[in-house]
Amino acid sequence: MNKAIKSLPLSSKAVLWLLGSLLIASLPGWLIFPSAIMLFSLAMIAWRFLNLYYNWRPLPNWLKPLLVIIAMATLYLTYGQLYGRRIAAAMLLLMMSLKAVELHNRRDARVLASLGVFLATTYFLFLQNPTMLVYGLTIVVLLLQSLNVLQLEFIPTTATADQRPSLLRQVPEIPGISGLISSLRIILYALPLGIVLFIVFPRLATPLWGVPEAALDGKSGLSDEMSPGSIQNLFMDDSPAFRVEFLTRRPPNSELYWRGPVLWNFDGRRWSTLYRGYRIIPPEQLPAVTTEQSIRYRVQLEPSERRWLYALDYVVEKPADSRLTRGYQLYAKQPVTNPRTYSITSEPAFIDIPELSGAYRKMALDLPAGYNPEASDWVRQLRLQYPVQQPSYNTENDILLIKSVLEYFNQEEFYYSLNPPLLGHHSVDEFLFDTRSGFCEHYASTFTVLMRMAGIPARVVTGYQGGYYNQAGEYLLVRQSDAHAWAEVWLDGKGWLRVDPTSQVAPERILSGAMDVFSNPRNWHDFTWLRELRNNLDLIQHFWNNWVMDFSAYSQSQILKNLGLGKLGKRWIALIILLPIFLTIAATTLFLLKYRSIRSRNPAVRAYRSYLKQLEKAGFKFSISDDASTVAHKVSEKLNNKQSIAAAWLVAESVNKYFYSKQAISIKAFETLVKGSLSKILRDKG
Amino acid sequence: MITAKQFRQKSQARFLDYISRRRGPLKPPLQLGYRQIFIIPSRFGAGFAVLLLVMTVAGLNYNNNLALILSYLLLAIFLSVSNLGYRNLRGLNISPAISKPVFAGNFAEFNIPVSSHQGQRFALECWQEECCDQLTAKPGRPASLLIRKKTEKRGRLSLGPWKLQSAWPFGFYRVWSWIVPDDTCLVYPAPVENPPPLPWSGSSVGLSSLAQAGDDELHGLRDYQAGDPLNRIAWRSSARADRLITRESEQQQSGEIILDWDYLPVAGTELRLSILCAWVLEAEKQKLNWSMRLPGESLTKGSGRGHQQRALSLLALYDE
Repeated sequence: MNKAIKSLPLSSKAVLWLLGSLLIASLPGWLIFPSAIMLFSLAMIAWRFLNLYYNWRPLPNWLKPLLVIIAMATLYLTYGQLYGRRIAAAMLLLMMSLKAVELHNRRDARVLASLGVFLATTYFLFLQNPTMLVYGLTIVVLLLQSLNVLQLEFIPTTATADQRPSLLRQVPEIPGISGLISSLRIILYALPLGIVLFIVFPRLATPLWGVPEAALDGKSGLSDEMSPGSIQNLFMDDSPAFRVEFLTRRPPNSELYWRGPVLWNFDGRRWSTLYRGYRIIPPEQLPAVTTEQSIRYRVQLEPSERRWLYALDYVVEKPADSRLTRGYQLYAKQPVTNPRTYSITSEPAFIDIPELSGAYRKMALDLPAGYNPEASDWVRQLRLQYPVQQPSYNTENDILLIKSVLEYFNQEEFYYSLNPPLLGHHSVDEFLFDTRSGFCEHYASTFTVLMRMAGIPARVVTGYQGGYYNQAGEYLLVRQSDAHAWAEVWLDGKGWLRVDPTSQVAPERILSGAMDVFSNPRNWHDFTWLRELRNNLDLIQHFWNNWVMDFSAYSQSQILKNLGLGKLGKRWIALIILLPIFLTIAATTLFLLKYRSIRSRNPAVRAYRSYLKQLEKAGFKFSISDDASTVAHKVSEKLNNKQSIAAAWLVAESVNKYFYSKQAISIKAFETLVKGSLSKILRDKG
Repeated sequence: MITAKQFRQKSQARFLDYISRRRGPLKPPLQLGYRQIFIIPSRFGAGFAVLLLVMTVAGLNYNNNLALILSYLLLAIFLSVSNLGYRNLRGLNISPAISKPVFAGNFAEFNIPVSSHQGQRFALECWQEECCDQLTAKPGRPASLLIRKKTEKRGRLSLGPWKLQSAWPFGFYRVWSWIVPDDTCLVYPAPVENPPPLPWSGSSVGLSSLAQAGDDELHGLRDYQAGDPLNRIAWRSSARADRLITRESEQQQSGEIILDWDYLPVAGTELRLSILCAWVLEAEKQKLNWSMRLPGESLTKGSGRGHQQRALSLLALYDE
């Protein structure tokens, strides 16, 4: 039997359905995989399309291993490694497209459909919005429909076709859209059980296996490095970074500095994090104070595949499985691979480290030698004006020096620009005296370098600034395009202080958001109304995250608790879980086997069935296989009145006419005839 | 020593006997009920289920809710499809097969009418060792599955047990019912390819042809007409006249032919039957009046389609 199925060739219609579904299944890859991999996969699928259309010969056998090698080489060259989630998903896509090339028989088709379903699931590792779910479901519907088409067609094997030419009389009747609708209906039948399983099936509180961090490759969002252009790239990205619901007060946008990676190391061009900066603040140094100024809020973080969590300065109550580093950055124990919600309290008035230890001070002043001589001279001149004071807590001159640097940015012709000229070796010199146009990272970087030259400990902080407040949903939406970089300086007794040089150049960036700085659109599809629309549509995503994405083992236990079942024993809990599942299965089965089969969509069938039912109620007995004439015969045996006997036979005749011959009777006429006859018969029966 | 095939057939027969005793008759006319319908996940279905379980465990591990939605939905589909597959066969009516008699060596065609009172029945396949035919039955529309069997010898060829099967809708499950009909197809003997000429007035074949070969002049001659049998052609006269000349015999005019078993100058029952079969066809082709004699049976003089069929059935069922 299996041999027969294996050798069954496919009709072109089945191949078209399957290839079409696979094509649609592979498209979301553009958002996830490099274009080289996508191009390879699409080429493979396209080849099979053309092969079908022009009836080409199948690929020679020697070429197939070569194609596999090319695919793996593409994978390795684009990613530089052969492990990781993204790479595994890309490999799945490549395998699927390679298999599509040798799609010959029913077995290949089934393997391909399974691969397609699996691929659709892996997309959810990277894209988790409602649109993607709808798209994923579409893929599944199409693949199921392809399986349906496979099932409905019958093509005899070549051997049997030679032997029995008459079998070819059957043109396989393959449904198009109507078949799709029936596939959709099957999904509808399954929906209740699917939802029940989603809600009650036990979730894992702790994962069976963790995600090795090497397998993650955060490609979007902030990184832990900053070089000219890195934040500028994020400015083009409109995808949400996180959403915030304020539980106490909402600070004005100009105070919303969402702290991300803190950068200490500068190599003349690139800023990077410091290994020691990751050290945890000892618990005794953590503040436990909250004042009236404290802000409590809940952050709903999109998966970033990074470990840092964003927060306002300064965190006083942190989420459970996180820690605070020396840079006062909030750090999760696990990389954020799923949408994650956490609650935080921040206290803006807190003073971060009033005393800076020698090692950290040294690192906050460190500059590579041989860079930026002009800027160095310029700072030295400035230092002469505001000399270092003693004792060290006397920081008036330092503050004056900082102010004059900021004033320099403000007074001179500095520009906030998306397309700043490239900078050479002495990047600070060139920026300060020559190009004078840049993005926030240029200003933050330059300012920090100048501070270090002046002997003031300083570091760069990256993160997000501001956000869009959605009035309807009462939450703040922070997009990747809100990414920002600013500087922090340390002053004796005052701790780390935030200084944002960008605000001197483009104050509107801080006051009203990144989008309002430039009057020109970022690209051809960048319109204000579209941005507005997207900001408002984000409300759906927000609710989605609240109700669907956040669902976890914790939510399940909350449901039980709310039902007053929180304290039941394990056996009862198991019963509570199993019961709805079994009930839904039973209900679905009953619906499909009883209700669905009884009710027909054809009104004539329904009319005739109710006719039979009424007669059975009146005492007639029929067997299920009785045809219309037999029914009429049985009925007329028990009747005396000639008219009612004629009526019974008239029904039989019209049933045969309606269902079995081509004589047209309108459904209306049929229905009235059946009803009229019924009343006559019943009257006669008494 | 029994072969694997024999063993399979024997155990199948025993199994079918068992289920028809325990679960009701399997002989058409038949309406399939739950006692006749079997269902099991196909190999593909089992593999797909494993894939779904892997997807679910992975989704649970990462608490990836979208992946979980998809895998739970597919699991639910996988479960409910079994109901649909069962419903596809339940209540289906199967009638006795209709078959036309064939000559041995040809294919016997069994047309098995299947009909549905309610709902469409998709992708119904009939299996006898392999998938023979497939159709989708619509309510109120007569449709029939076709099983073709190669015939080897005359007699009655029985259809034998067959399986009505469907993997609709997605191929996850195999749903099937065994049907054990007593339908047979009548198989006529294969007519011999070059039969001897028709025996005129009961004379033996060899004698009559010898006798007639000599005395062309005894009979009237006329020009050859299309349709004249070859053995009526007067070859010598034709050679002389340089055109084809046909003998006109009295027998032909009166059309008196007896196809007699005893006058056949060959041995062997099957060969005799085959020659008789060819003669019957020939006589009918020439629209003659003929009668037939077999040991123990005979057919009086007559002609026409019905006459021919009676004769062929006699030949098919001779000595059975």
